[in-house]
Amino acid sequence: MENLSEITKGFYWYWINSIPGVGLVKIHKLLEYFGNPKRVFFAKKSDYLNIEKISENDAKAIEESKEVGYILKDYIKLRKSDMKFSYPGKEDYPKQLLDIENYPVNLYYYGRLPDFNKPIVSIVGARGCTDYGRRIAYEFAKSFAANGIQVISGMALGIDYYGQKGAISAGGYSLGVLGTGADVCYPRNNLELYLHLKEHGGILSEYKPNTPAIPGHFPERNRIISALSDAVIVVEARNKSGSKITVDWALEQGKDVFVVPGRISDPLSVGCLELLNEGANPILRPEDIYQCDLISTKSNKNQALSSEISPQNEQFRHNLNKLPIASQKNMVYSELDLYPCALDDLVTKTGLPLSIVVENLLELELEGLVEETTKNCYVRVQI
Amino acid sequence: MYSCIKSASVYGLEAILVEVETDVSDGLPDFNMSGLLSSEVKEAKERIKVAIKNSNFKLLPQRVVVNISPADIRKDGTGFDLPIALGLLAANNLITNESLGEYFCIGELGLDGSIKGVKGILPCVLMAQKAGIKNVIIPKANKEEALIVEDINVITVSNLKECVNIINGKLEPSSLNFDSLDTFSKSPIIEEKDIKTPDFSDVRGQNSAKRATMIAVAGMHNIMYMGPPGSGKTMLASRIPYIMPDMTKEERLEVTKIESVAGILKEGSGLVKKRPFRNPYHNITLNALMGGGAFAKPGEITLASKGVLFLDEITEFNSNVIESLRSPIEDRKVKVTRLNYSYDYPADFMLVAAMNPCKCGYYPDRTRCKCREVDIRRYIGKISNPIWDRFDICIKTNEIKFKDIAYETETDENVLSNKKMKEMILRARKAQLERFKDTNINFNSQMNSEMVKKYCQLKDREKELMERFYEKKHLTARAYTRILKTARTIADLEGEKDINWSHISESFSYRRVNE
Repeated sequence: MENLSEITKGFYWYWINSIPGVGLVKIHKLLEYFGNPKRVFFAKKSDYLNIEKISENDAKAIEESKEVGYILKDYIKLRKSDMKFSYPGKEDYPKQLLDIENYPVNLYYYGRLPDFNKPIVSIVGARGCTDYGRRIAYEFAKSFAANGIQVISGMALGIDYYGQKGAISAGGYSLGVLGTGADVCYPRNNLELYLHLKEHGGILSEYKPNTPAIPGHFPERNRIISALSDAVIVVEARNKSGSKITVDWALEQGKDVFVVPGRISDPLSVGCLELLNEGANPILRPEDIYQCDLISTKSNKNQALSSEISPQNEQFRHNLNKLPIASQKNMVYSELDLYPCALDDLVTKTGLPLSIVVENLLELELEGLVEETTKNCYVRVQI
Repeated sequence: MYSCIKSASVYGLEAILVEVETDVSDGLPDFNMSGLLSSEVKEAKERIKVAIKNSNFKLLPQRVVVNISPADIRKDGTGFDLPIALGLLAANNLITNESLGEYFCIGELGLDGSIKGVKGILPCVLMAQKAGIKNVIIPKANKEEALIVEDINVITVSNLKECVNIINGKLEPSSLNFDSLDTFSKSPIIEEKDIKTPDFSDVRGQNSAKRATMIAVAGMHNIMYMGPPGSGKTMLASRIPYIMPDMTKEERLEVTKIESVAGILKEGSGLVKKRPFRNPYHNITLNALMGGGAFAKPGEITLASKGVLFLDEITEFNSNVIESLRSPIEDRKVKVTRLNYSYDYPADFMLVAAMNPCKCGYYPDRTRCKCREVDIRRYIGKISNPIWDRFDICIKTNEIKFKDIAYETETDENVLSNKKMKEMILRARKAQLERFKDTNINFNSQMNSEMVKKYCQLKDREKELMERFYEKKHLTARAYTRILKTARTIADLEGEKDINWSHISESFSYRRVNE
């Protein structure tokens, strides 16, 4: 349990983040000048005006915010709720975040934060992803989780969602870094994932409770995602993409960036291919993540959890080898990849009659090797 | 003087015999009509007076009372003009035939005395024949329609003067002979040589969709096409009536009756030969689809009876309009109930629908589709589960590739044409006829769960595979029956007695989205 002085200390951090019109940049200016928020609180109005970027209005706002009761009331309400609160210097505040230029001064979270002694990767990518990206995000994350690598992402639709789902499916830890308040599930459709992370993983946000979805917040929170992780994996990204913002942050913070290559004609791979062109590391298999030194050393520290190939992959390769060569089933299977293939195209490609193709597809589906993504369009389940 | 002549009024698809009584007497000149008449019937008096004058008959100023009995049934339509006019003339002794009461007549009058065609002649003449009436007088425009009915003397007239002369015996009725006669009736065969019948061989590619269509027609399963814009969904659907087996006489009579009542029967067409294909747009209202209105008329589902009801872009229809189809699909009829009456219209149609897989239409081609997954799910979710349940077959149509348009990629032998498909369908229909001869259903799609249990028995291997799939895909009992019904039809198409695994697996591939 925190003692009283810590709770008071927390209040000053909470207060400094609650002044209307004073954003993170100005807060950091204030902190730079005064050293800590308590000193800011007890400083005089004239002192504030000595700092560049603090205007007359700002100083007035700071003065007024000391008078109003709602900030304290909100703080008490926050401390009474099950949402956890952290600030720089507090025990649970991740040190990695302090390296960011304008590091968050408040953190709100549910569940627990990742274990920084164990490897952490973030999986980011397009919201409107293809089945290819979806499958890769899911399978990679699953494989990471099975090897004790923690997966963090932004809990957005598409790649974020499937990455975190994959990690959960293997029973691993996952953290969702939100661009809204930690108590706001955005997008609503991810409620199931949100509730799961709240219980068994973590939900983290630098924004106050109840903050709705504001477009500017989402690129901002990407700096936290990259800062918390040892390596960033981009699965699918369009030309202009939020994932590239995450990559920019990651490079600034000196993190390794891995990119899943795609087809050059695919708009959803343009961003990825550009990153590769600029020198990012391609990641072709989940194991490739060990190329990141930080992850391989951290993994070695936790020998008990590590193995070269995940059990899932092993199982899959075993299954694949079991398929008799040149059987009709194999003919059908070999024409499938991670891009959905229509039934008619399969018939043309294999040259088999429709009924045979359908029969084999169903059997492959039963064996869990093939999936129907949408009406009569089929993909491989395994990479 | 009093006179009486028989006529008819249409209720639903049936006609009721009515008697038009006319009495003229001295007194203040007046024209009174009674018998629960709608406004178009009441308006008749002005038309009749002028038409009689313009036909060179002289009437004295007198008190006229017209009653149409039975007086407690509402009468509408313009067909009472002619019987009232004839009654009036008879009451004035201008018609000398004593047996006018034995005649049955119907027709609308123009101000110049001409007689125009009316809706619903076929049910009226059928009713007259059943009632034992010998002579019917009908407008010339409705000739072919009336001639469908056998054993009744049809007199066609084109103006009031001619009509009176025929009744008075001064004129011989015009000859009704035709050069060629249809198999079922005295009416002529309309040759549509100029119009080429649309053929399935015109549809490029889409082999799986063509096959699914054939299966759907064979078992009268409702079918849903799903595919990107321009992939030929409408083309496929519009060809379905041409691969359905030819209509029997009863079916043709029913379709003709419906078209006659709805007033859409083409002039000179006689018994309808082509199966109906109705494709209402998505702006259709509930009443227009189901039938009804203040004076109930058959709706699109009735007009599609014995044929195809095609709902293109089904997601764009009002949801209450689509939901209203639930009961008619099950009952194969629709009940239209208004305050004073209740009609049963037939609604024995095959439902064909088409939709895009998402709003932009290109999912899962992510190079073009930028729809979010939620939006895609929402788009498909516009069709409610109960409606999805009524589609036994759902098939994806694919974008047409350049090679399919530019080159003849398929040889004549393996391309599915109308002829080939119809042959296979007839075979499947024959098997079904044999199977259901002791029941009240005709097609596999109409089987209930007990019948499915009886007629779709699986062997051990199939049972075992089915069980595995059932567990893996979390199928519902409803989906299970649907898959079996479709599998039964596929087996019938292939001419096989037992359902085997390939039939079931094919049937699986036609299951609906997200099942």
